[in-house]
Amino acid sequence: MEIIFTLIGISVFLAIIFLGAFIWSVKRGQYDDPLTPGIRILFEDKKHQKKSK
Amino acid sequence: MKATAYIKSQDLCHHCGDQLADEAVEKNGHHFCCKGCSTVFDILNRNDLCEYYELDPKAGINPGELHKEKFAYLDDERVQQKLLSFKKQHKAIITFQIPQMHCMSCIWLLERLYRFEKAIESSRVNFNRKELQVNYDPSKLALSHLVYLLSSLGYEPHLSLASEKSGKAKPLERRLWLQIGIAGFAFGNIMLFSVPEYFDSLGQLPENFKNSFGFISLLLSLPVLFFSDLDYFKSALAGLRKGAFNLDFPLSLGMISLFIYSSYSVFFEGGMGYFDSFAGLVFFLLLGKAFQNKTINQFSFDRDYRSFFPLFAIKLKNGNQETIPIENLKVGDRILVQHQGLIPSDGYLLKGNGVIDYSFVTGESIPETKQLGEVIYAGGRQVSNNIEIELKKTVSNSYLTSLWNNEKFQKPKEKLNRLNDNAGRFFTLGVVLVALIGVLMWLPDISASIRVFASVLIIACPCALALSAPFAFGNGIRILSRSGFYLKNTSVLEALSRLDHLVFDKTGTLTDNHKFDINYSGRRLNDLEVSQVRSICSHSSHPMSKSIFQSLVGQDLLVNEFRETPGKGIEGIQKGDKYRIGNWDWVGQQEMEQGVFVQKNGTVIGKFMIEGHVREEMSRTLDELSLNYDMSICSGDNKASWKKWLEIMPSGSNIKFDQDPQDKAKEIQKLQKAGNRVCMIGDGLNDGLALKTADVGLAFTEKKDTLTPASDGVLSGASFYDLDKILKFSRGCSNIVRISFAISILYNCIGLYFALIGILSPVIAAILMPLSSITIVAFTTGSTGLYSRILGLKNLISN
Repeated sequence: MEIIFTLIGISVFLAIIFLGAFIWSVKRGQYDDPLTPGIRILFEDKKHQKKSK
Repeated sequence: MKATAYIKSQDLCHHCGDQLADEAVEKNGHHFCCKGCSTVFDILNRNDLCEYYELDPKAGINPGELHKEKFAYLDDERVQQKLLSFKKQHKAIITFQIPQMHCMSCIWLLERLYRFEKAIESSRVNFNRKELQVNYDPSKLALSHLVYLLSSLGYEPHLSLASEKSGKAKPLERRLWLQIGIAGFAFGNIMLFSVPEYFDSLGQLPENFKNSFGFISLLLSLPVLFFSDLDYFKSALAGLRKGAFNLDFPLSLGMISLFIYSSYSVFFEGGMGYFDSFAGLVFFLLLGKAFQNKTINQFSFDRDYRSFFPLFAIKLKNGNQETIPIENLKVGDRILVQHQGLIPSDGYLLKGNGVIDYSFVTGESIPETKQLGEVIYAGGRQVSNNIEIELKKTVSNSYLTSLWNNEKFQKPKEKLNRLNDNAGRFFTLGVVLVALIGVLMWLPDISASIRVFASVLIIACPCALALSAPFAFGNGIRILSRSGFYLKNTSVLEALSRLDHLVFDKTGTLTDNHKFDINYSGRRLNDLEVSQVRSICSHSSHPMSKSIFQSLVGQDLLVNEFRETPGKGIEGIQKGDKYRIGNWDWVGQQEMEQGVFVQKNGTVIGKFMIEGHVREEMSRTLDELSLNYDMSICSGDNKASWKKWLEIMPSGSNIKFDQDPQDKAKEIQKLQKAGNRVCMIGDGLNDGLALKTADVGLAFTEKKDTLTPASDGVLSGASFYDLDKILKFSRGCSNIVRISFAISILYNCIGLYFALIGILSPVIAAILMPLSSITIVAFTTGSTGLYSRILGLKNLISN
């Protein structure tokens, strides 16, 4: 049953990676505007001549 | 998910939705209220962007009058340095403040600017902050053209001294996100380890597991202790320094006890501790804080006087024009103020026709004429042609600025959170008392005494109590903003519930600045004369002429030799009759008298009295309010219409005229010293000082383009008549908070029962805390929503 501590170690390690990703995204500014991206997603762009990029 | 296309009736502008008047234009089968709107439609049509109208029925904004030269100063190197956040030869980034954006269509259009100009790479909207960030090629597109493009679509950016601070989200907001994330992470993971304890299966596991899980929980709690909960400790200490126990004190006490006792349990008793409750407590409290801070506002409440001033002025030197920042203007400088330009500082009129509109500053809707050599004060807007002024004060020393910064009228900052502070004091006392009782109960047994003492502190931690105000008031603010009433933060809602005296500004607030009541007194005019007067007035664009024109019914007659002398009056000849319509001295009256006089062939035959139209339903609204509040009016106007106001205002109201900005603020201070809690409702800069002095200052605005003076809240045209309901609602929210305090204390008592008996196990703590929190959240949000529906508050969700 002591194997559980190894398992705990691995899962906490994974969880910390995700926490790190969260911290990175907040510092990067992804949480600065929670409102507009949700609206932006709903726009449909009709087929127009696309800008070459 | 497309909204169905909105069908406009024939009487409304296809673009902005305003009623069609005389300047209506027809194009492509659509009707527009003015050339500006039809131009916007043209631009959109040409670029195949008419989807703009489909996304939101109220999308279009009237662009108003545009002058290209207005933006010429933006191409100056120094100006750009101040405004652009990034500039290289082929790439520049600038962030604009665009208060006019109000719907999905706005976002849609503003993010498709690249369709208008190839040189625009991309643009991105931050709707909460009303900002637009544009990425463009400065070598191919001048900044002035970019701003002109935005203005011609109806989205003129607001460029001012204060706007230099826009851009990044404050690091404070990010910090809260991080605190919540870490607390949530710890909470979730610790709970996993506590599961065996909840289900009593620890007995089935090897001995040391319990303690090991305890250690892991301790480790996970460390970042919560040293980062997430810091703000509560800071606040508790700050309160102590002032000699008061606010609600954060028992909270901090609870948190620290939880951590210390749990650590003690893990190290010395082989136990697991209460770390799940600890992390959970911090997590829920932080969520409450985030909910309270959520900004749903379209308005910026922190405007100071500098927001109303332009960034740059045109200085004249040796016949040359030079654009310089207005802070650099010195006494003696000669500046050029263009049509519709703002006067940045006090000065003497040297050249040109000075006709200054001070409506925003003094509340007077009629522009003042200034003679050469007269002093013109800062804050006015020049409505005639270009003029030149020699400055006698710098911008920061002008009369307006000194008024704004007057030390005597600063609002004391400590008016917040009364309910919470009172609860905190009461609670701390109660907790310490009960803890001592517990110790005494178990005294011979030392270890039991300590355990009971700690348990009491832990379970008395007022988590639910601390959530009551944030959720009740936070939801309250959300509900009110759906009714068109916007508050700065939750403390204002609490302050609103304690008011007992309302002070109204007259001009622009109780009366409409754009509608006038006209009364004629004098010799009765025959039909021909009526038509003559009307026809002459039709040639003038002065608001008074327009009002007279609209109020008379007659034929359109040909007028010869029409002339308008700004600030004085108009004249013209019709069929041999010479008319002069205007001021008392324009028509040769000996004494100064209010009104617009009509002179025919040298004799004055009558006059028009033109006054701001009292808003509809004003009497009813004021009567309702007077049932619960004392009322006053403070006005900058003179006593001419005093009698009329006596009738309109409920009996017993206090009416004061001839008030300048300082008089208004002094009046409010007088009321406050007499023990009243005063709310000021006004609309212009002239009320700014009073708004700051009052316990609650509400700015009234009709437009979405929000240049409101610094205030605690904004009343829109829609919500003004519901003021009675709104104030009732605020009182209701305070009562809901009090009831919710009672409920959470009930939970605390149940917990205390377990603590005093000595059987407060981690399981019980872990159950009680989330249970009480969820009950409070559900109760507060539910009852505030219910109460708003009972009162019948409007719901005008636009976005």
